[in-house]
Amino acid sequence: MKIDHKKVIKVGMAEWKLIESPNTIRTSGLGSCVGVVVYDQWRKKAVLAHIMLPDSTMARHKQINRAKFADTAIEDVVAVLLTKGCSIQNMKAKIAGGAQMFSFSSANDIMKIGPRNAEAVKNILRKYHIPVTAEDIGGNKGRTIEFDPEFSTLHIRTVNQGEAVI
Amino acid sequence: MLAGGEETIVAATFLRITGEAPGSIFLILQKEEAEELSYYLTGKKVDIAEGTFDELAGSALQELGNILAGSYLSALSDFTSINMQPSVPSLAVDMAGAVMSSGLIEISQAGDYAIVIDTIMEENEGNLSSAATGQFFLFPDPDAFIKIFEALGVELP
Repeated sequence: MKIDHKKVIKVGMAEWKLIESPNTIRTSGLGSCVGVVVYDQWRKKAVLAHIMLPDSTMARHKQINRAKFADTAIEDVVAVLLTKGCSIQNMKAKIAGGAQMFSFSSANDIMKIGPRNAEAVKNILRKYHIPVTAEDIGGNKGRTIEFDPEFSTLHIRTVNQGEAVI
Repeated sequence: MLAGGEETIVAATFLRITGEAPGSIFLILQKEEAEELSYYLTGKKVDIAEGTFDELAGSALQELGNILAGSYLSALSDFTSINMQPSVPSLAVDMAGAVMSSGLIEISQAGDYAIVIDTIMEENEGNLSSAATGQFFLFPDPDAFIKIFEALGVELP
């Protein structure tokens, strides 16, 4: 009998981590941030990135945390999966988050960061020809997500709508 | 831990500050505190974790946030002699991590650190069962730090 020692690896804000089955990976309290899972269903490996901003050119300093921005984070995520033997043809993505937690009548760019994050993530994935197989984005709800590379499932928990699997 | 943990349900009132030292203010009420306060104000028992909770309760919580944040801001403004105006408040009931991260977005463009001014309120009358009702978080925008520090007489390197 095979005994699995499952661990849940946690990813913080502006961070990404690589895991493989039987472990699962999760990030909590996604608001306007976007959780991007890039996975290889055959090798059962996945990276979850918790992205805060759409574009690294928004940074005011040269020294940046690359995991914070959609463009630099996804570049690094793809690179690390390649070094682990995954090919880009087998990579797929699932994304969640990008909500607008507060609504204001005034049109402030910062307040629309959620939808902008989601848009940026999709554009960059398209650039790498990585298909998005499932998504749960937008709205005004916070999300906690957990990905299981064994079944390529993304579990999404919200305060009001319980749990969903995509 | 941010306001009791990333997944803790909180009622957050959010205001943008405009003026000489722009930034964001959050008034965070834990679920029980928010429910107790809204009961105190409206006489109705509500469960704020339910998506469609009472409109009046929501409005009361928002107004409460407006008054408290307003007086907090005018005290800070008097103390520092910096002109600050609050925006119209917006209320969200959700996971603490999800609501607070919205306030970190502006700061996160400049660096990976934020200064949080955490304030705990207490009331003496004893009408409410919890001693500490609510926490304030003030997130000054990157350039506003310098203004506030200068006004407070903090020497910057």
